[in-house]
This record gives sequence, C-alpha cells and structure tokens, in this order.
Amino acid sequence: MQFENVAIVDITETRKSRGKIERGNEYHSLEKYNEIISRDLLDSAGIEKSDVDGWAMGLPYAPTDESYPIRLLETLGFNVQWLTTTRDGGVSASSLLAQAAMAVESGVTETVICSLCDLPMDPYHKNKDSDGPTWDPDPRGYMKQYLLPYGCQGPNERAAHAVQRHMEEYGTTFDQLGEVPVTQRYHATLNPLAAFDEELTIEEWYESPMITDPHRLYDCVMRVNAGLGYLLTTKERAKKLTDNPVYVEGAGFNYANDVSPKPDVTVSGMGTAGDIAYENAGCGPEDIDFVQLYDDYPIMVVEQLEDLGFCEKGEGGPFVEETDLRYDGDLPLNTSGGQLSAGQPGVGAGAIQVNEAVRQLKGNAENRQIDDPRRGVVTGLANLGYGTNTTGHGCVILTNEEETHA
Amino acid sequence: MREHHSSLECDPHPPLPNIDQVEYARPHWEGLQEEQLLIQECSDCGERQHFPRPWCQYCGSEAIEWIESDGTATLYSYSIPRRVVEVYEYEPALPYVMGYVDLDVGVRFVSNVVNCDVDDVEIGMELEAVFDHVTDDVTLVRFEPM
Repeated sequence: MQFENVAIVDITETRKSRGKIERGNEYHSLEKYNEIISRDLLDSAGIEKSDVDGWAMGLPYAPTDESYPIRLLETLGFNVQWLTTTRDGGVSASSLLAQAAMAVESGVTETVICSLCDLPMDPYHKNKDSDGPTWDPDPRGYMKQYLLPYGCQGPNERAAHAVQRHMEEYGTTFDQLGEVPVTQRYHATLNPLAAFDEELTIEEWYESPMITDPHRLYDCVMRVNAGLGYLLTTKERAKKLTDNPVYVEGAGFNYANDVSPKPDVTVSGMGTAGDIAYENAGCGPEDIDFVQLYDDYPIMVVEQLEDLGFCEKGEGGPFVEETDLRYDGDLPLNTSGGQLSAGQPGVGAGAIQVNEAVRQLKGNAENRQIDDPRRGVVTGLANLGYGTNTTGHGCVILTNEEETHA
Repeated sequence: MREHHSSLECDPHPPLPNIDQVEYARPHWEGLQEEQLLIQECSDCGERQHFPRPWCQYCGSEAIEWIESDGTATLYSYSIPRRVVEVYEYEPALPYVMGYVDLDVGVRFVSNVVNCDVDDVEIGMELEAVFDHVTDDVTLVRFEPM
C-alpha cells in the first residue's frame, strides 16, 4: 500500500517497567498508560481531545474484556468516529500504522491516535512460579496440544532452531551473531527509555548463560510494561502541527507465508513484505539510511537483513560482522537499543522500532542522532509457528522527504 | 555421563494434551497409545499435514485419511533448553533436546531427541520414533538416534 496524503506528527513512549513492584518497579494500569500516551501526543501537537477523530489500538496480550477498546475511550473521554484494533503479535505496531494511514488517506478520519500499551509483566496477575504471564497461551490451538507437552516452552526455543539451522547451512558464527546484541546495547546506553542500559561487551555476551542452545541470555528478548503511541493526520494538517513531519512511503505485509509441510526456517515472509514496501516507495535497500528491525532474537535481525536485500541469503553473518551498525556507522541498526535492550512491551513490541525511526527522521534522537537521515525501514515479526520460522511479517518505509512519488 | 531416558524426566509430567479436545484429532492420540504414528493425508490432493486439522490445509477437502509412519526421520534442527523461563514444571528435565524432526513420510514433527547425550545431537542425524506412555491415557512420541 502506498500513501500520498498521510504524515506522522509525533510519537511518544513511556519508561519501561519489569513489573516487579516488590523491587520498586513502577506499575501503571493499561488505562493509565493510554492516558499518558494520549496526553503526550496531544501536548506535543498542541491540539485538544476534540481534534482527534480516530483511534487505532493494539489489543494487549494482558486479558481484557470484550468491549475493552470502547470502554477505554469512554474512560479517557475520547469521542471518535473511527476505531480499529489489532492483535497480530509483533506485527501489530506496523499493522496499526498502516491501518491508520489507510483510514486517513481514505478520508474516513483525519487525526488518529495509535496506541500500543501492554502489561506482559502484570504483578497482579502473575504466575507465582514464573516470569511469564499467567493466562493460557492459545487454549484451543496447537501450542497447548502439540508443543507444550513436548517441552517447548516458548519462542526462545523455536527461534533457536532458526539459529542452529542458519549456522549449519551458512556457517554463521557466534562472533557474528553477538555483534547484534552488543551493538544494540551500545545504543541503549544512549537511550534513557531503555530497560537495559548497562554496557555489554562481546566477552560478557559470550559468558552469559545459555538459556536454550544456541541462545544465550542476552539473545533473548525480555518483556516489559510500557505504553507507546503515534499521532497521524493528513500531510496538510501535519505541517501545521509540527515542523518536521514523517511520511509513510510504503508498507507491505505477509502472513503464513510458508505452509509447506517442512518449511525452511532460514527464510521468512519478510522478503515478500519488503518487496511490496520497496515497490510502493519506489526505492530499494540502496536508498535506505537506517534500519529498525524487529529483534526478538539476533538471528531474526540477520535473516531480515538478507530477506530485505541488504546482503545475499546466507551472508547475514559476515554482513553484520563487516558493517558498522552503530548510529554513526554504515547502516545504523536499532538505534534505540531495539527490543533486546529497550525491552519488549507486549503488543507494543514493534513500536520500539516505529518510534525510533520517527525520532531519527524528525532529528529528535539527541545523542544517538544519525547524520541527516532521509529514509528508514521499520519491521515487525510475529508468531514462530509449528516447526516454522516467523509467520507474520510487516515492513514500513518512512521518510522525511515530502515529494518522493513525484 | 547422564543416564539416558526416553521421556523428559519430570514427575508428574508437565502440561499434557487434552486428547478428548476435538474429535478429528482422536486417531492421532489413539494411534500413539497403540504405538502407531499416524499422519493425516488428504484423499483428494494427496498432501500430508501435521499437526492434525479438521480439513486439508492445502485444498480444503474434509476427506482426510490417516497413514502410518514407520517412525524414521531426520533431524532438521534442534535446540537445548538449559533453563526454564516460563514452564517451571520442566526444571527437572533440563537439559533436554527439542527437535524439528522431519519424518520420512514428508511432514515435520516437533518433539524431543531422547536416549542420547545432548552433546551428541547434530543436524541431519537419523532418528526413529520411541513411544512414551506418559499416563494411562496419553502417549507422546519422541525420537532416538538410529
């Protein structure tokens, strides 16, 4: 999908909490997070509640009731003419962005708040024995019937199969894979909103405990509570509300890409999603100044760099080793620390990527600002399935140049 | 060296499937109880699929038959849980091997590699099925080196 008349005015993002109130972590309700992010977005644009006529809401993974989105708007006091929701895992943030952009482009709504708030570490609904959420994963589907009984606890293991296979087929090494979390942690040291901002050396990464071979501790994304959001409107209106709007140039999505009985876990549907987004935007990987790639695990970054055409399939390992991925380097990667260091806020996971891309394109990234970026890629990934790689993929291309389709 | 087992060493066993959950999957669970590894095959298009579904995921036909795998397989990929993160009942079984097991009948099965030292597991190794009668009602199938 291609957009001619849509702009992002601004983004917002709260601090992250691990939800451990006994250790002094802050705790906000879902309603509070939504109140914070909507107020921030209104304040930064200098508009009133009555100026917002649309909401696009990521449905939290935390349990909510059947009319939650409407009751939330009632609680917050927003009267809108258009509401959409999404809950497609790590694709939610890019999907909501595209849905809101389509709605603005079509004229059904003019000014939309996108909100992605979640409490995956809810201290009041916590399993006493576990760091994870208490609600049943997939009560009717294959997770509970065909994966959990065999000891498959979660995505750490399922993604580890992709690492093992990539290493076997292409000779990808730990030295190469370690570049991703170490570089991203460096960026997190420059991001006051990151959950994990202590320096991390490659030696410390090597020494961190194996969680699920070949995944070490620092390869596994950590859940956090947070609220993230963006404000979209027409180009004309955005230019009145901000000096530096960001434009949605193109978006592509792909779900359940490989339903063959024995899928290749070294490729994903990001290739297809990326091709669509590039075609919409009329550009290719050579035109991209930075990448904010969904990073639940380092292997996912490596495979996306391949699938999005920054290197050949199988060359992702050498590519991350030979490319300076820092904010002032050749191809800046996840310049806020990514989810591996900033934390993974449930349904807002992919908004870590969206928000940082917007900050960079607005020139608001402060001490990690990329030098004069023009165009960046944002991605979302979802659902490591039954014996598969990820099966949900979203790719959005953002720019701060207005006349790109002329 | 660790003693080898054909089960994950947890007592009681962690989350078990509900074999009465859906009628269409019953042959799979009953087959395992009889030490038969049954896989769905579509009578209309001939494709095979696992996990069980009430229709063919390729052509939509509900004419699903069950074929018996002889249990031979190749290890496509694997991981070795060494810490529990979410399902604490698995703690006693650590470390164990999760495998993406490609059955010779043409479908991938997610299970465990057992009766084998975790350090000896490698991609491409040939495997055969071993039936683990976890309870009176539930049998799971795991895989051991040939």
